[in-house]
Amino acid sequence: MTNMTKPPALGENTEVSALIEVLNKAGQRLEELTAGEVDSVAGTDGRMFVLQHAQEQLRSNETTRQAAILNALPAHIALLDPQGLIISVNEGWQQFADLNMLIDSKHGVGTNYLEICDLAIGNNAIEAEQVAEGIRSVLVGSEQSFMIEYPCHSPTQQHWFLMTVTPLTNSSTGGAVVMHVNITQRKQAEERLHYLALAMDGTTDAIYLIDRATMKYVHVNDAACNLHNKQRDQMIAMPPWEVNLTNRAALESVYDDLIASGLPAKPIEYMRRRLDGSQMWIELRQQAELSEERWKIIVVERDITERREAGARLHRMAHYDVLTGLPNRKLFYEALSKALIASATDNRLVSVLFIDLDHFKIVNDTLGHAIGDELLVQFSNRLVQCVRIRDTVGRLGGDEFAIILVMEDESHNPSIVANKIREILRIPFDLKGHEMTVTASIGITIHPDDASDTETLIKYADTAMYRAKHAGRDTYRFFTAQMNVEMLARLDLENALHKAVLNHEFILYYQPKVDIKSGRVSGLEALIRWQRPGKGLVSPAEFIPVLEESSLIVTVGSWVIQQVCKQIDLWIHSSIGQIQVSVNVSSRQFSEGDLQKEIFKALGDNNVPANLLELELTESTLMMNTNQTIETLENLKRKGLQISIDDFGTGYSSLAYLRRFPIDKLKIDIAFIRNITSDPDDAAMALAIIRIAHSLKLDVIAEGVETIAQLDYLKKYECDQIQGYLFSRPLPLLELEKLLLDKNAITE
Amino acid sequence: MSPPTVIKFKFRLYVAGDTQNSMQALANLRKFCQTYLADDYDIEVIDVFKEPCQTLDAGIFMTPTLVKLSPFPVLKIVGTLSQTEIILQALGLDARTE
Repeated sequence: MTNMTKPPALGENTEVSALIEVLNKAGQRLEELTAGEVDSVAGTDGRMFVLQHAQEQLRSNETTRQAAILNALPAHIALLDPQGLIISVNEGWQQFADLNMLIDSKHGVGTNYLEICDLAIGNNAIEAEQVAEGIRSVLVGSEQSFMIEYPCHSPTQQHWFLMTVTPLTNSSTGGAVVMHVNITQRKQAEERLHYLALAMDGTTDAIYLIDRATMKYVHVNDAACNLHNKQRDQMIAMPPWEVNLTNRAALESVYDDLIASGLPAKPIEYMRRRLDGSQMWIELRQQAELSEERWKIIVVERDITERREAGARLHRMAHYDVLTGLPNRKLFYEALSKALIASATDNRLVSVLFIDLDHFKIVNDTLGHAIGDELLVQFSNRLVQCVRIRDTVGRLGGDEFAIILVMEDESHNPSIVANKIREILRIPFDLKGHEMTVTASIGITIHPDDASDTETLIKYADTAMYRAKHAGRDTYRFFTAQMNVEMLARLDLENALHKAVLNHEFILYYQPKVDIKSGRVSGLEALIRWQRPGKGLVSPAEFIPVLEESSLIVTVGSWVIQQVCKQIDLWIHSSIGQIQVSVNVSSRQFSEGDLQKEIFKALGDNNVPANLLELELTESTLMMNTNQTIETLENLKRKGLQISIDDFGTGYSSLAYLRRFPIDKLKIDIAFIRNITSDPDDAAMALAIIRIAHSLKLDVIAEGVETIAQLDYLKKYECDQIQGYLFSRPLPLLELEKLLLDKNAITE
Repeated sequence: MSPPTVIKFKFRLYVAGDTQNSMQALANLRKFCQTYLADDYDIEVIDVFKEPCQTLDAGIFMTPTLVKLSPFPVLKIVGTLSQTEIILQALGLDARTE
């Protein structure tokens, strides 16, 4: 107050006291006059005089009212004086003071709020500093108000508060009102929403929330924006039907159906184009939810392109050959079934061609699987060119292919197609630089003439194909009933051989080999024979090829080696003494069995010196599995075994392999020996073989020697050993032993 | 429910804020009206602190003061209205009740 009244003088004081006395009396009189029933009296000029008791009551009413208002508020309120002293607090504040707040001390009236803030340390020091600064700025009037949200966590609960500071009066120096409102619930709700949005944006699924009433997006997540390559606000602004490439009415009807059903819609899979034009598959899930009395549609779109493609890939893999892309065995059978069913109604003949590449195994073995696969791919491409689009070409496995022809007229009969295939193979293949010509053998069956079901049709076609192979390959054969008979006989034989292995029906015969110079028996060849129950001795020519074609040869071959070693041991300990025995080894024993282990075991089990065992291999055996074969042979040779080449001169007769393989001996094929005295070509061949062998320091043996003339010729050209009926046919054990013990002399 | 087209008793009560006598007068008036006048009345309350000019114009010099505006004639009663008899008399209703 600038215009302060000067202190009253003593005399004036007395006068003032007197006047107050008069006023009091006047007031009391007025009360009496109005019988205490009146609150205020006004003069004629309108100046109001409120009676004493009414004045007091008004004041107390106002205070009570204000306190009630303050106490009724959920906020915690304190009034500060201009210096920051707390002059009044409401009930909320008192409870608030009990919590662990910005400040630890009590918030009683009289405490300086600013000082408490200034002294705050620890986690809340920074906020306390901001608060103090805010309050000061309001107290000095530089700010009209101050607000801060701050966390305030007790050990058990998390709280957030909103603090507002406003001036207590209009004047800048009248103090301030400090109010704290607990906003924990709002904060937690905000936080939940925040996490929810984070989670929604974290998923790769596109999520859309649509308000059914307004048909507008309420929310879209990041994935949805990315899917449509739009900013979120752009996306929110777009009408949902435009995003979904439909119209409003259609989309509304979809949503209304969802609301009516009350259930999540069945997921829909549909294809859409990406912005780059590529295809993508989407799984669409939709659901209606009633939230705050409004229907919201929740739409989730998931990119399932990978899943779809994996599914398609699986389907392809299950039905198509990976290498050639042709239908595989399964799909081929299905196609054939369908063709047979269709043929029943339109009375057309259906033909199956079974195609097998000739000598494919040699291509694989000599040039490697990569080249072999390349051949199969190129071959399959050519095969497809030989038929019409509607015909089915499939790969049944390995180098086996098959074709289904639905015959509509004579121009498209199976023999024409078979010849087309043969013709198209005349052009050499270029297999990564290797030029190669291959041929194919084809077997043909006709439905319904040959068989009525798919299995049999294909099986018979296979049989016919084998016939084509036996007929010299590069040809085709129609299935005949006779083939069936033979095939059944063959099956019968195979079954009987299986039993023969189990029942030990095989026995060994031995044919002596004679040293030409000394005329003495220098070794034996063990030869397998089969005593078929009820049929007597079966010719080796009849059953050995069957053994060779099945894997039985591995079992039987193993038995032979074990048996021979046992026999050698018996002879060592008899009067016969040490004698070298050769066994025939098939290529399957190299590739499918563990030949080396079997031989070592047989030698060890019987305590037989390795040099008494000789292995006879054909040239073709050598040519297959070359690397593996060389390794095995070298190991055996190191051990001391003898290795000889059987039937030399008929197979691949490459001079190179005579160097590459660890060979001791060549056996001249019987075909050359047979006419050695009558055919000069054969004689020259036999001579050449002897010369080559000797120059490579290999021994030579001639098989099938039946006449003295043959013997003389071989003797003259220094063949080392002979074997044949001239000296002895293959003999059963007892006869052989008799011969060995008799006299080891050659007939002169 | 539509109100009666013409309300018979119209009162105006002048009060001094929520002071005791004024509030007493208002409470008594309401009670009185409910007891004797059914729904056929209307009370207007005027706070002399808020409407000093209107108070002056109306010639009101004390609170609480009840002014009966209708039925004619206009009548003023000062006090807490605790004496029902006096009011009935003043309103000319005493004869009717007997």
